[in-house]
Amino acid sequence: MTEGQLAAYLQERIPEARDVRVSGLARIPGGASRETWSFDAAWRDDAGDTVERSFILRRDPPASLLESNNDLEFELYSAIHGSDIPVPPVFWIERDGAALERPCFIMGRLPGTTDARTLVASPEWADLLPQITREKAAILARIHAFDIACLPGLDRPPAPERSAEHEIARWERTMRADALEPQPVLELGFAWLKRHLPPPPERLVLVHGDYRTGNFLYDRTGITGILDWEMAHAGDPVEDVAWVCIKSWRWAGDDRVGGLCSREEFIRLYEDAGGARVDREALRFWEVFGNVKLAIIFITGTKAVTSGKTPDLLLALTAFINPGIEAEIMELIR
Amino acid sequence: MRPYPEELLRILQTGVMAHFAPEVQSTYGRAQIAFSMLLFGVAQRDYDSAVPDLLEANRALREMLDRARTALDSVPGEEAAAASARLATLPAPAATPRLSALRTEFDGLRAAICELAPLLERAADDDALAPLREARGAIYDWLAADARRRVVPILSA
Repeated sequence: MTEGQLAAYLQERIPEARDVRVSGLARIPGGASRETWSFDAAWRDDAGDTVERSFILRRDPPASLLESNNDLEFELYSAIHGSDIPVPPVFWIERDGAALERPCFIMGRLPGTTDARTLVASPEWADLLPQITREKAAILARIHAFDIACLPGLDRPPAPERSAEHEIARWERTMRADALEPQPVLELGFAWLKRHLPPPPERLVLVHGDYRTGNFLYDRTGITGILDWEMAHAGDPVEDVAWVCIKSWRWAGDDRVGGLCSREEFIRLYEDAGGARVDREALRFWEVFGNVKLAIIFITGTKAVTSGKTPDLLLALTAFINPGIEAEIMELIR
Repeated sequence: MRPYPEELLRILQTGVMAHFAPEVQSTYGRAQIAFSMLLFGVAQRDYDSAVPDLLEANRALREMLDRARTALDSVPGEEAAAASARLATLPAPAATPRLSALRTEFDGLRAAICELAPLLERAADDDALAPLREARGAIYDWLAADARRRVVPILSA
């Protein structure tokens, strides 16, 4: 994909634009489930004034950690943009590769960075951590209050009391399809989950599915955008709270969840912001579930890179994160 | 013959850094170089100990599964009998110390634990499965220790 291709694409999509120029095309590392590209564009409008915009392009890779669904993510961003949940505006979706080689969608680039380790470890950001922590909890409460009736494409269990079983079945299917070798720790994890189903949520909510430090943009004003919605679904709000808590996201290397605050502090902030009451037994269930799910995501990546579907070395590397996750699962289910 | 494979990995790692890394300008390309360095490190770490690690793992797994089978034989019911029968068909020990043979044996033994997982989980609090608890504890301890042994520190929280 070249800057020239993108300029031609924008020219077609914005017929009134003149002299479209694209610069700064760069692939952003990470984004293992989709390629993420950043670029700037400039053009002259009908009045002859120069318009400058920054864009993010999310494109399907040859293979990825997850079977992604561009339509769902596009629908989510479209529905949520303009609400009290900060997300970038989305502009165009390409369902085949005719325009830009592979299916993709294009959205606006918001200010800020996602770098989790810098946020939690650098003195430069220390004064902002309390604000970021409060906003992270409050935005999660708002996500869970969002009306899922506006999201017809959202996967959902048949009833709130089936939330846990629905997610177990989804990820067990993925493991059976993608595991390249026997996975005794994950089998024990699934056996534990099936015998420790949590109390059902009062109602189904929008679950982000990957709500963690590293998946939001921040700058000196605080959190500027919530990203990476490809695992969103309707379900139990405690699933997201538990995902916040799992060990893999404790970027500070201590017990602070997301590298930001204690687990109890995060739950208090979330509940005070209008979030659902967090049942501690449900939290334990969803924390075990989150670790099992994360390990399966990496197993899917291992299959993709081992089978030669992608040369992305990140997917080979993430396979070696799983021993730490397995150790955590064994600690939680003993 | 020198260089040994683990030395070759180190040579490749040094070569990539010396010859290719300086040419790479993009942030994405530099990230891929960094990932490759970590992967070279993992391969070097695991190379020398792969055979003794698998020999020891297969010995330990076989011994624990034998204990589980003995325990299941004292549990009444068809489910326990079926599980015991499954454990009677464990893969034979690898005929050679080749990695491929040892891995096949290892996978076969781990597959047996997978099939036993629902019973092992229930044995925690189901008194009918109380005879299985000692083997359960040993298997859980071994899986936890094995996971910790395989942790790559730089990749773990």
